[in-house]
Amino acid sequence: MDAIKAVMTGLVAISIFAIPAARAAGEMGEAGAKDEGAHFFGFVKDANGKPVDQAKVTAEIKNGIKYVTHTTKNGLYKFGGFNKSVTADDVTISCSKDKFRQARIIRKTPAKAKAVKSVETECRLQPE
Amino acid sequence: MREPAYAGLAPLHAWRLFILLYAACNVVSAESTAATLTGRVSSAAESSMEGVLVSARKDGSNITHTVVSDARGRFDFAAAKLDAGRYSLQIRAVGYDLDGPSAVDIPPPAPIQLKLRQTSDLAAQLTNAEWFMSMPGSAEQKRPLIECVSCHTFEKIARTKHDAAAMYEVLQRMTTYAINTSLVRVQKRAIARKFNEPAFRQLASYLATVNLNKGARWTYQLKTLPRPRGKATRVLITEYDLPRKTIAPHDVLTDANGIVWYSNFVENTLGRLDPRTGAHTEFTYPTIKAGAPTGSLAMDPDRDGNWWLAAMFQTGLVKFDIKTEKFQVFHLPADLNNSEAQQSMVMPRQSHVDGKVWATEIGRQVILRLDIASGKYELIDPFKYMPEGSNHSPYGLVADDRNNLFLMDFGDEVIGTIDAKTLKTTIYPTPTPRSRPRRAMMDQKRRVWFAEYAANKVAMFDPVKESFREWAVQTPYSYPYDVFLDRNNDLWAGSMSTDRVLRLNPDTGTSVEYLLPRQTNVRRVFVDDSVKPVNFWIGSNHGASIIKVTPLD
Repeated sequence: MDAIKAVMTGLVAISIFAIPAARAAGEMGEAGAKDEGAHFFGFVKDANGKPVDQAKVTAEIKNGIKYVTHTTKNGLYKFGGFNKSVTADDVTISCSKDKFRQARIIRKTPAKAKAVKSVETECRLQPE
Repeated sequence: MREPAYAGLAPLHAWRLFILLYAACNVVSAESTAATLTGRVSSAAESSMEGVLVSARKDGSNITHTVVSDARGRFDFAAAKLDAGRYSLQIRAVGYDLDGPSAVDIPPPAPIQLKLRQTSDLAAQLTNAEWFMSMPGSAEQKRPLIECVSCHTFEKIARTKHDAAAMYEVLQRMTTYAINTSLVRVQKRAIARKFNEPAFRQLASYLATVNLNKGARWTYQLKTLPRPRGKATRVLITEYDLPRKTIAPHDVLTDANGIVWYSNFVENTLGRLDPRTGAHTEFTYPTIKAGAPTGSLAMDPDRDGNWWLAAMFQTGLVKFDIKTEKFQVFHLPADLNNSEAQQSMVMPRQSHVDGKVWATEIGRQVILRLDIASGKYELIDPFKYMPEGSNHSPYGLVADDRNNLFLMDFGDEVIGTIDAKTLKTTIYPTPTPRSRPRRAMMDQKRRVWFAEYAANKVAMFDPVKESFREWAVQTPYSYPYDVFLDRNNDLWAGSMSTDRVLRLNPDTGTSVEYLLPRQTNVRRVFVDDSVKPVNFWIGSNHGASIIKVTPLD
């Protein structure tokens, strides 16, 4: 292993053997039950509770990778599921948009709920 | 007052100047009177045929010139500047064959009249896209077929007589071949690819309904794409045949001197072509991994013009020093170098910033970063938190001026960035789901342009705004592999299925598609925009040729 400095983006060096072997690239790769952990969805709204279109929403995994998406016309965002190593409490959701700042984030799904995989949040923006 | 440049010349010098001017005039004269070939195309059904590709190739030459007939059926090879001599002629117009003449002496005494006749074998002329258009079945049923066209045309499948069981056996056999396989150079993988058996059985059953399993003719009408019209006819295509059919040019780029270089997908060679003369040279690098499939995929230069190759199943990265013309291999370390290890992509363009070269490791579907000085690789997993069993595969790579990486996830629907200093990753899903982003390029404004292979779209990602734009490709089933934005703000793309080259104006969304003279599986695309008009360069991955497309408008 001395020839490789295995750098994971979570800044945790781990063995390459921890990398899932079941990843495939094609249309007919090996069937794999998607071993999903938490996934997130919700809405971005303004101070009046109206949905905000094209707001940037970021899901940042603790010490790890960021996922960025944008809301639909209805203010909806969703992130596909992460793997089972990611619990709901490992993820921080934030939102932003030009000329707005994040006022607050409301997690509608109870925290520390171990069995919870689908987490809804509401992110509120207010004018800068 | 400033003196004229020739004032004060000694008589001898003036005489020399006269000789030079005389010689220059002769050159101009020779060019202006270069032999040309003009004519008209017609058939019994159409008195003036627009959009017929007419190709001329001088006897003994490896260069074929192609022009396209206009709305009045006329064609003109003036832009090709043909030498005098004997030329063979060919045409491409779906539904037709050339009746004659099939050869001509240039200059001909008068414009020639090309006569076409209806073909007796339309199936042999269909592109992959035309097969997909013709076949019954849903988009989901046809989607897996985009894998097949990596190695061969769909016609090969359509002409089989296998029932579902036999077709399943064939599909299984396909998993034993390396992706860098062609019909003339079949390469076995060390270990067969894993596959989804139910999906294979479903596909086999479907294919047994669209091949010749039930009879001598297909049960569905063969549909064709329209011939080129208008702007799509104003083009000159120059094709340089390579000396061996086994050469599979993958990435084709020009250097600062206009010399063409290419990677060979199935052999351990780097190719060089002088487009002015057609002269071809090959440089062979040694076997890196004995018994493994040979050939390289991605090729890109560093700032000094040295070529870097991603050595595929041979593993590791290969650098070609442009001055010494010697290769240097950066071996993959033993603990990474298992039987599935595969480097398909390399990105050395910004390596002067920090001494690092980015690459992909497809055996594990992760990113590698080579430290050139030490030869050591780092491993970065941008898909670390994706669900196990999901498809993710890093493919096209580009780097910005700080050597931050942008990666395309060909397995799914995201692109990612990796910060060169912190190695932190950010993932962005494309607006179109299951788009399978493939190859990419970065423009002067640091925007990332890329092909959404499975979505039949081309796209742009703006790293500043963290936003995407997408444009649908007009022709269905084009499956664009790569894109290139030229200095005129035209976005170019190739296709593995339509034999067409896309030129799209991103501002207006309008596009023109140039048909190529023969079946051409296009991978990397490149525009040399140091010349006017620009030259668009591609390799015919299955056809052992290098192709230049020059727009004439």
